Amino acid sequence: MSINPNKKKQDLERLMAKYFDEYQSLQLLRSQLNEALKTGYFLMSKSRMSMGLKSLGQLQYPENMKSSVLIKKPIDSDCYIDLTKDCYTVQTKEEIQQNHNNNNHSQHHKQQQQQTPQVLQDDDEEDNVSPFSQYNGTSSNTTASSKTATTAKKIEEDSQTRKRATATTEKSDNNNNSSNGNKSNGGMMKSTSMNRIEQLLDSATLTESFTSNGNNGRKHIDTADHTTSDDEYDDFSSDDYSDDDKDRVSQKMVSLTNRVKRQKKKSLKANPIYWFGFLTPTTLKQSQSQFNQGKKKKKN
Amino acid sequence: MAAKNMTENALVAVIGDEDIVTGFLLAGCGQKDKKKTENFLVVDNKTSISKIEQSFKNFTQRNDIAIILISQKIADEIRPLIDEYNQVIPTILEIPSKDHPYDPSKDSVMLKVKRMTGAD
Repeated sequence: MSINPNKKKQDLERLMAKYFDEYQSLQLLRSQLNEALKTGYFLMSKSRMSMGLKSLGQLQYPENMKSSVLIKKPIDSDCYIDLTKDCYTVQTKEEIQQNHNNNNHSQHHKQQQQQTPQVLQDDDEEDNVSPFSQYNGTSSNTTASSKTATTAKKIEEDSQTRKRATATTEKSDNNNNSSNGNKSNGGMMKSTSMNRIEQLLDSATLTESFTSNGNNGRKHIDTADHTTSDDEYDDFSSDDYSDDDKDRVSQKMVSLTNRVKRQKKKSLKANPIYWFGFLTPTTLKQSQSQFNQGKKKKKN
Repeated sequence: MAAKNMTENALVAVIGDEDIVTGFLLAGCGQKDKKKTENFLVVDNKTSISKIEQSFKNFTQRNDIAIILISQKIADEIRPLIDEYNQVIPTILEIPSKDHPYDPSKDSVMLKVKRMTGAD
């Protein structure tokens, strides 16, 4: 079997071009890694100056630690021969888990978006924020601005519902039949909204802000016009419910809140910066981010 | 070259001074179990070369390590061992330390690349 010499030459040229491309990317990544490490060392020295000489070293390493950075690589041995394949892919455990549950999560998220009202969505956003995000200037600014926007929206909605409530009470004073109709509607809505609250409590993640602000001095509004999610919580705060229902729901809320607190504690302890104390300097956090960048650069 | 029976998700091993190891542990590379099996080695003035060589051999023989990060200064101390090493996985990557900047002319990977292109 004869091999076409022209084809062989083309293959060689293509491989040579690929080799130089890889070499160029290696040089680039190498320089980026060196730069990231240089900045990381500098910031670590600065944080050592502020924390003390012995407070940032191997004395603070914990007894047991688990790597959060894993390198995913192909099991087959093709990467030994084929240079076009990336042998290594740096992934954190979260990314691996995220890829693993990607389809399920997207479907579940869509369903949750349909069911979850705005208040709980905001709480989810607060949960997703890293506990150290307050130290990062940009992220904290964005979250702060979004928080102010949501609170302004809530205040506006509250004022509108109060206006509606006063209008309805005036109408109910003038017309008894309409008020009876409203009461019957209210009875129907009581059961539906109760179920709704239980569903939400089962599905959604609550935070302390919800427990502190959810029933914060709002009046019960017995109208047929319930459009917003806040109105549903207003229904729950009324006197029409039995004490057992209230106790049950409040117990669920408390247990969920405690669960969220435990998750937050776990995530905080999982971060290695926790080894060096709670109030670590900003330079150490910056140094950590620099080493994170360097870790990603060594993919080559 | 015989392929190692590697695990799918592997670790990053670090050999370096305290700053290097602390930095990469902060980035989440550290692993230490109850049997005191670590994937890092802190090298200081008191650490002997035999200990560095021993830990390097351990890291290269382990099948749950994919990359070994080693400070170039420490790599110079065990250069014959690194030059002998000819496996792909775990890959050895020489990194600069705080006191010693990176020198590509000493890096074993870059020397191999240069040899391939015929630059030498």
